[in-house]
Amino acid sequence: MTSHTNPIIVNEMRTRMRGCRAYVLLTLYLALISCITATMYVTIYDTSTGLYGDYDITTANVRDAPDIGKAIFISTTILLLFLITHIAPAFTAASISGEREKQTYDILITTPLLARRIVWGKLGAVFLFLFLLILTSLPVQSLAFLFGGVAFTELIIATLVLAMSALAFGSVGLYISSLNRTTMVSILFTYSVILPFVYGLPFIVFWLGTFTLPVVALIGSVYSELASMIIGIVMAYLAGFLLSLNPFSSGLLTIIAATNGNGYFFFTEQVFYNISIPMVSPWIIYVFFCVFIVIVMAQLTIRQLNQISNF
Amino acid sequence: MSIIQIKNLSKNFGRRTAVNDISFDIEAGSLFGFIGPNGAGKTTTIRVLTTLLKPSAGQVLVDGHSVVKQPREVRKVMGYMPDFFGVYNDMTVWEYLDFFCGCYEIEFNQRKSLISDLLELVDLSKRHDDYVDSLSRGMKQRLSLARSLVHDPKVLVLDEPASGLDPRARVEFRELLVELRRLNKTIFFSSHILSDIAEICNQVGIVEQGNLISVGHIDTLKRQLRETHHIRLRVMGDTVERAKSILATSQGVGEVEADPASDGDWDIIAEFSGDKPAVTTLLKQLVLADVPILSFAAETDSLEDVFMKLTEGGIL
Ligand SMILES: Nc1ncnc2c1ncn2[C@@H]1O[C@H](COP(=O)(O)OP(=O)(O)OP(=O)(O)O)[C@@H](O)[C@H]1O
Ligand SMILES: [Mg+2]
Repeated sequence: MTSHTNPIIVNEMRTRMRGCRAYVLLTLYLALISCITATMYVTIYDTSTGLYGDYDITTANVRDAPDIGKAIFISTTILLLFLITHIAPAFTAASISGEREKQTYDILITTPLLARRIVWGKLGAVFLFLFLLILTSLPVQSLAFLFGGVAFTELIIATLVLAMSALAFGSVGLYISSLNRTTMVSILFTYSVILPFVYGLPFIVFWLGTFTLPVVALIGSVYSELASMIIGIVMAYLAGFLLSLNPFSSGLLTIIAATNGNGYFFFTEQVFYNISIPMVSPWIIYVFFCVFIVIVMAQLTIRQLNQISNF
Repeated sequence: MSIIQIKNLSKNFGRRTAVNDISFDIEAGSLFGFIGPNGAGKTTTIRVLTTLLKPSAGQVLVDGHSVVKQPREVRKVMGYMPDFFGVYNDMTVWEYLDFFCGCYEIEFNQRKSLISDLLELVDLSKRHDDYVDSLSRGMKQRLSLARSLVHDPKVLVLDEPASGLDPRARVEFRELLVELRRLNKTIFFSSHILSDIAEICNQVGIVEQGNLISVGHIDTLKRQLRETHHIRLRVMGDTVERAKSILATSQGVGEVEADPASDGDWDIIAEFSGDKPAVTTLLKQLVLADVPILSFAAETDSLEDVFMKLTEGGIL
């Protein structure tokens, strides 16, 4: 440690990791993830061998191993993604309002510590804690490798998506926290932004998607084939883009694209019977979107902290 | 040189004026006492001074830096102890100080000795490894003072620092402030308690309802106080009107009141401002006018009396 180590991170780590709270949380998490993994294993094993088939787990059908590996990998990743997108914003939403509530904010803000370092410290501390979750689940995830069916690239992509989700969702909570006096309000406000985004966005896109075909057909009959094609392609790109912004739909589409043998970076999507358009893999758009969110939210928070209050 | 300059500072909260066009300077090395009743605007002034609150009008400079335009420069030279504050949970005393050492970018290898020196100064050495939230209120206050000294600031701003302390700690605290002043720090502190201020400060400011009533050196203020008297005299019954008319026309005499006392005598109380020769002149005048004086006394108001008068009897 040097004088330039971010004191906020040191502080948060000291207080957050103290006592048994953090360990209890981690243990519960590991228990949960192990349960899910075991369930996946047994379920897939059962369905592949048949209920009355061979129950000897050690001689599991080698052909089914990749399926088991994939299922374990995907389910643990989704669980992590769920935890991260729901926990990170709550943690950070408490961070600045919490200082105000505990009346430690004035003292902190009258030190020459730069707002930039407060913001990265608060975000960094939450990120490190969540990264610990990601790390502790690696042993379970590595089971997936044992079974095969999961590429190393997939693990890297999943980890990147998880890490960026932690930062992006955390930064939203942090900004909202800097606006409010009480933690309660910050958390409610944050969830009322996060939840519609996580659960609402995919449904809205799918719902709007159901209008696409009739609209395209209508344009085709009223104007020209070309116009309807252009509209169709634009709609496809728009839907793809919007679905890529949501971590769950983005992940799902990435998996679908990959299992269709389309690769992890680019793929082509058939829009009309004779036209395929090239698309960037959703996770890439998602990661860039996260970077964008983090930068914007961090800047807004810094500005908020630098403002001298009127009250 | 003035290390704190407050020029025409005003602060409104909506329609309420908390601070109304206050101006004064504080010289480097001063121990400045800021006194006034509840709601006078002390905390508001201090929050502007400590870069926490935007003034509605006016300018405040600390060590030549504007609190609005260069808050970070101000923060570097200032230590601040708020009137109410909290501490972090799950944190020990030394970790608390270490955290602020980090905020002020104090080298890691200097922290250990600095922290033990500061704890020594505020008499908390034995609590080094205790949790901060387990300390008593007065101890937290002392810890907060230690915290505000972490970066050896030129200016210390303390908002009612003695409010949670027991009488003994209060005395020790005053000694500590005097000691810190000797180390060439400028100290700005607020209080309700006049004796806290009168005994140790060299400069005082008195505020009431957002207005600065009086500011200056304590000696000047004390001299002003010493020159304010009440004249109390007792005269025989039939001469009361004559005495009153003489008093009313004499220089330095304010309001005159007469109340009947026992045996048909009258007590007269006259507000009077003037030095000692003026008192003797007044007495001579009464005697020469053949007023039968039974007793005569010139009384100096106590500090508290003056303060009550200045602040129009606001709650202290
Ligand atoms: N944030 C605020 N919003 C609205 N009014 C405020 C605010 N802060 C202070 N005031 C008002 O400004 C006036 C001055 O308050 P201030 O806290 O400065 O007084 P004070 O001298 O510190 O009093 P005390 O001795 O009780 O601490 C009060 O009338 C108060 O109600
Ligand atoms: Mg106050």
